[in-house]
Amino acid sequence: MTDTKALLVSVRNVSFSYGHESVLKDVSLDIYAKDYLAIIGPNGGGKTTLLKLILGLLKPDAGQITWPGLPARHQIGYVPQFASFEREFPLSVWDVVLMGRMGGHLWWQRVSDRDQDLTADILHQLGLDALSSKPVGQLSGGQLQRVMIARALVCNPDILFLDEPIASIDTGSRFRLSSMLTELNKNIPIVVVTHDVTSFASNVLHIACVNRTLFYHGDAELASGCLDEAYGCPVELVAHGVPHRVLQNHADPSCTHPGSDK
Amino acid sequence: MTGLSAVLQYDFMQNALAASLLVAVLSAITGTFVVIKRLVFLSGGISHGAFAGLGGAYFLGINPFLGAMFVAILSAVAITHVILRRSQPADATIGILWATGMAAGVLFVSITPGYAPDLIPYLFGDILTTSRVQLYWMAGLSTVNLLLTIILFRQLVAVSFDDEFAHLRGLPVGTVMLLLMVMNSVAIVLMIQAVGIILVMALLTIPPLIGLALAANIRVVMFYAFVSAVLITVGGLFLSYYLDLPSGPAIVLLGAGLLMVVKLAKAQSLKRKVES
Repeated sequence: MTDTKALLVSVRNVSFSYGHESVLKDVSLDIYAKDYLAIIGPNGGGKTTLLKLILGLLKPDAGQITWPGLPARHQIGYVPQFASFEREFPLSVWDVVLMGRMGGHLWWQRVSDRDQDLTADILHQLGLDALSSKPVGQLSGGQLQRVMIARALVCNPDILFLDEPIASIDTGSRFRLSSMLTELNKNIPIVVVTHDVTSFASNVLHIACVNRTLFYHGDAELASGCLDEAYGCPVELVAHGVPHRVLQNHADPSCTHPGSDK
Repeated sequence: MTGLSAVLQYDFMQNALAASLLVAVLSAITGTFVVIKRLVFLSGGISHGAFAGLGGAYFLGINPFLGAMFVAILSAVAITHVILRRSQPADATIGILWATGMAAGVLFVSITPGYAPDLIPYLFGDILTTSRVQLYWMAGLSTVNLLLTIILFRQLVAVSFDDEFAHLRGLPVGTVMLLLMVMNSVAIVLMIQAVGIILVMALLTIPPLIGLALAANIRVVMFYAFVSAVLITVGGLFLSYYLDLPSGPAIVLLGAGLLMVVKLAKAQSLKRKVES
């Protein structure tokens, strides 16, 4: 994966609906090696659905999704949306991260020494050593976020997907997450689904604006016009090369999109 | 009052005690998955739906529990299919199964010629009438259930915790879900023998909730669930024998009492921790 222009994932004319309700229509986009793609758009606009289609968790009604650029035995790292599982589940941080090492067969799966070593390594890298035996139900938002990232990274993934990773964490954790993703992006492509692109603005290479259909897919710095169109109102302007970000006037109160994404 | 050793000489009491231990094993492993994966309502649907099989088998003159087992497994497969396809909310499907199963069961029993049987033991259980043959069936199927749980443990936990992530790890999520559901429905029918269709819910929920109150690691939760299930079933059995109470309600009410004591004790110890 040295060629940064090599095509990794190809989404072609994909449509999807839940029952009679169309969620995505005719979406096409590419993900390249070393890419850092932000899929943005309003809540309920189909971002998470698009991610699940790419991951193969949902099957498209029409169109094709192919993974031409990945080796046959590839690993996919996935950090799901915060509330996608039961927080009171009786598992420790160690148990949860170790799940990232599980293989594909049905019967008895032994935990190998290598699995244990890699789990210990990743917990150490993410500063989670001290929490290793703590039940996941007792973690703070930022801690749980890091545990989910550790679980995704422990298989040495060829690509990392994150769904709304900053929605439930505080500002300090957001900053740490953003710089961690930039560091990871030196080796693997990253795809982030978010309704708040500003936290990633300084590092994202490409942006895809999704609201029922794809409004824009291309360089991050050119994205502001499409953002207006996708959200139906002016939104925060993304600036490249400038430290952090430039904010456009965001006066229209109808622009806030509370509630959770589907 | 008869002495304990004298009571234990009775065949029926030995059978009932052995059945209690087996039910405790099923309650601990199946119930823990049912509670943490939020399958309580679904389990209610399966146990009530199984009444159709019970009644049907009674009408045909075969062993009612074979009929219940057949219908329970069939409905587990059907519900898993609905859940995996997400074509309609499983919630409503479970409600339909619940009502239709009970209706069909009662109908079958009422059109069977001859004396109408007493339905109360099927609904509320009668562990003291467990026969040797039933006990062998229970022992065999509980062992299969236990072994499958041990062999598939990591997969069952991974799919219960986060099925999408498990799918991305390449796990056969559909097959694991189906196995979990079928194992659950077999356990449910075996437990119907002890506490009856209606009260099976208590054995699937109370011991795991006690376990969850005492531990945060799933294996330890299952251990505490087993211990409390033994206390509840054996305790309920003796209460039932000595006070001449129906065994099902005795077991369930003892369980509810124990859960309340554990919860209160836990709240007290948390309060003390905060104060100190």
